[in-house]
Amino acid sequence: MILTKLLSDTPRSAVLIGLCFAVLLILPWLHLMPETSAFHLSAYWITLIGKIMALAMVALALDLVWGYAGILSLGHGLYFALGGYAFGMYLTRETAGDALPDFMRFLSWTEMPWYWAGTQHFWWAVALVVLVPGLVAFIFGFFAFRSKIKGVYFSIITQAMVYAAALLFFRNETGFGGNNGFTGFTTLLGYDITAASTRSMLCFVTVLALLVSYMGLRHLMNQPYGRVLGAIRDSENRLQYLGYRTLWYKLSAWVLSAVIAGIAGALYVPQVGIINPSEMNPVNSIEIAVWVATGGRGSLIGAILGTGVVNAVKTYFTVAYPEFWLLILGGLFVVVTLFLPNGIMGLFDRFKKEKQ
Amino acid sequence: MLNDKSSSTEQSTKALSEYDHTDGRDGLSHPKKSGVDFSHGIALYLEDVSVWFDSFRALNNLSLYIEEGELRCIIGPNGAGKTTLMDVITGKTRPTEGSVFFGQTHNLASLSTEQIAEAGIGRKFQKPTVFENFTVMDNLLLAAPKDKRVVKSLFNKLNADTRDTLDATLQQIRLTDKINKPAGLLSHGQKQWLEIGMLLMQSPKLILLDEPVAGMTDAETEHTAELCLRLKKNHTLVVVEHDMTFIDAISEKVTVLAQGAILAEGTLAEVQANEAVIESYLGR
Repeated sequence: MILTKLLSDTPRSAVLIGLCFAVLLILPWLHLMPETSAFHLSAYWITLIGKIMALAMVALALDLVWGYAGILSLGHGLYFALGGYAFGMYLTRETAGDALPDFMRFLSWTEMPWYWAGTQHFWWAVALVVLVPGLVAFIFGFFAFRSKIKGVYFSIITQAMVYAAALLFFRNETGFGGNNGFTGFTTLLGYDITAASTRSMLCFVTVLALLVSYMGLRHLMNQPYGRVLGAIRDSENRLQYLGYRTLWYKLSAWVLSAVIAGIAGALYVPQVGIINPSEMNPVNSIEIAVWVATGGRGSLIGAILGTGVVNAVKTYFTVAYPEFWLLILGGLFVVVTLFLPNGIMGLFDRFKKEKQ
Repeated sequence: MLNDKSSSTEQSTKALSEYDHTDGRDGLSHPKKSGVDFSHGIALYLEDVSVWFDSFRALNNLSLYIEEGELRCIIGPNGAGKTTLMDVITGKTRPTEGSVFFGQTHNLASLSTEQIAEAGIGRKFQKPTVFENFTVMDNLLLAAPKDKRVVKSLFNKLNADTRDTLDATLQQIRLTDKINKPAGLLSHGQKQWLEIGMLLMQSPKLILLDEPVAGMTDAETEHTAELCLRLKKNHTLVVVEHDMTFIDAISEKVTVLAQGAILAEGTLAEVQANEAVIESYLGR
């Protein structure tokens, strides 16, 4: 009963969503089947699924602030990359052992910068994955929301922020491997990172993290908190006359969103095996907004669905017709904006109404 | 009535002089967190308030005292400063000069909109502003909680008390059968009532109503008058309105504003007979 409520509004769609997640939780283990088996999934597919699930988490995070509170961020790639870098530091240290990481030796550094301290410990890296995006989001959000920056101005600043961060991370002196970033990871908690069982586990954990964030956010949005966020989107002023300090509502949602994006980044990096400043490319952050818009902003399952659909199309076209992909992405955004203001989920709702 | 008026003014002047001497400025700049102090029987003090927009004086040395439990109507021609007055009370506009106090301790000129709302001042806007995408029930529930901090909003606790207030409010604003309808689909008059209903849920000490019957039919106006009279039992009300039938139905004391200052005060009949008032409405 509680479980269905956490999955969807109606029991029927809850069963459907539950089944989809069940399948997604089983899929990673098919990689462990013998290669001769008909059920075997290759490493390519496992990585692709894991990657898309991690991206879906970012979409969920953006949907929380954009779909509910009406704050459009065009810089969520920043929090995603920060989480990825934090976890990448740990993976780099594991690979380097007691020595300095390769890129530091190439720069002829003799010791690690202070902020690398403790990153050889898994749990400290995990803490950083949460703390760094959270703290950056808190500081940025506090000043932006306190100055009452709203709408398109806010979006532009988030875009500028992610670009500035990209420029900072491109520099070798920053101490994060410059434009190469971190790559060539070998082990994770002592397990071979390319081993089939590690891959399966990583993919499984990512699906699980997505499921937990989805249900957690759904629960939160069904509380008075979710109602207040929605009211902020509709009329923040009116809410203040009711006595709500909207700053803290916006800020808490913003920080939570950044933390979820950070965790997604941390899960993404060991699966794709690389993190570099291109993740902070402003175009990547805009793409996240396209996923959410395609799926239907304000609908959590829509955000996941949108990520899946757009990335599936992207995976196909970037291989088959790489030169057309950007055109298709732009076209998709135009079509969605003009004809599907509520995305794929809006299309479902329309079908349902016509049936009745 | 005239005697009443002079005595109330006397009382308020007394109250004012008292706080001037005993509390002093220092004590007043730190409003007490706990409750509003109506110990002198006055809910709202406006003293020599002026608001300048560049060279235009929206309010001009206006002094107004609203007693606790009073229902005060404010009328005046367009541009008289009625809405600016509401803005000053709710912290949207800061007075250029003068002081605004809610009870004895709350200096409204130094508090934010949210703090003022928290202290117990609720406002209904001229244009009905409800959350259009939300159902009638959700609109009312948004107004309900006493403590509106984030931590309190993380747990769903629609307790029996809130449930009862909700049902009672729905009945009073005649929207019981529309409880799950999005507010955006309500008629103009129903939106106005919903907003009044939100005030009922919020249950502030002082309620400001900006043109509550604008655009309403006669029957709706009549019901709104009933609502106002019911509100008066537990709240202090300030009503800005143009509709004289409505004012006649609810008013005890009417203040006439013109060009940002008080032109006359008294019963509706008295102010309607006042030469200066007739002049300001008709002549110029």
